[in-house]
Amino acid sequence: MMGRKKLSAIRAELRQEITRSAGDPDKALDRLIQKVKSEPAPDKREIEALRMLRAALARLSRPARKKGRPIAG
Amino acid sequence: MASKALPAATRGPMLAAAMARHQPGPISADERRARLRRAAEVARRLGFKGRVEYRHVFSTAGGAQYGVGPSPATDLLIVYADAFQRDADPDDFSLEAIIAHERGHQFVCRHRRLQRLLSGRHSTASEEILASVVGSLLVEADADREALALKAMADAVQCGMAVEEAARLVGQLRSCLESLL
Repeated sequence: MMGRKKLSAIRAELRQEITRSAGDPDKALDRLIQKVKSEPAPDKREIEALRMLRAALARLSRPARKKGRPIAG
Repeated sequence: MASKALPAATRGPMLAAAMARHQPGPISADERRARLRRAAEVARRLGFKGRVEYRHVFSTAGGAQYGVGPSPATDLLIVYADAFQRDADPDDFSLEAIIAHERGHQFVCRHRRLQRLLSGRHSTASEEILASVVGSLLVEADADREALALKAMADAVQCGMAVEEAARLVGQLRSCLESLL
């Protein structure tokens, strides 16, 4: 089940958690990407996924899209 | 507590109004068919096998629910009115993301090795994380990919992981599951 928690609430919770534990999400994910890259056999797909998450986390502090999607099919 | 102080004649209409607020507004038969058509089209595009239904009621599931049948062809995906309501909200998940998450459940349920992995104590939470990661690999839009990856991360954090650990887990799962899809 998807659960009823809104995406904006999930974003807010993650933002709060990052601020509490890791500080700047960009820097935290950069550190993590460097760590994965320095491993003996770095996984390119994992690094790509971490870059995607870094971009997503960086967007947490930006306002959401203004325009809604159409409700009907 | 406050409602106890209200006279019964006032409580009745207030309760009815509160209930009405939690029901979807009426739609035409054409719109109902359009919703089913769109849900079915999205489900097929994401690789869902089985029957797709649309029910014009609000769910407690978050907009859609996957049901396991005796075979993939008899599996069931029910899409509810709140999926379309959420889809229209720019601060919430799109219909594609909601259906991709349920398709993720179907993939996880139908994959023998993944099912074996999920036989432990935290299986429900793990399945939710896996379903979101699978969904994030299936969707086309970057915004949906990110939304589902963030949901997986948030679920992992909810299980007690630090944010960086959760990000690493989601990254590793995306890498592993990509090769299975």
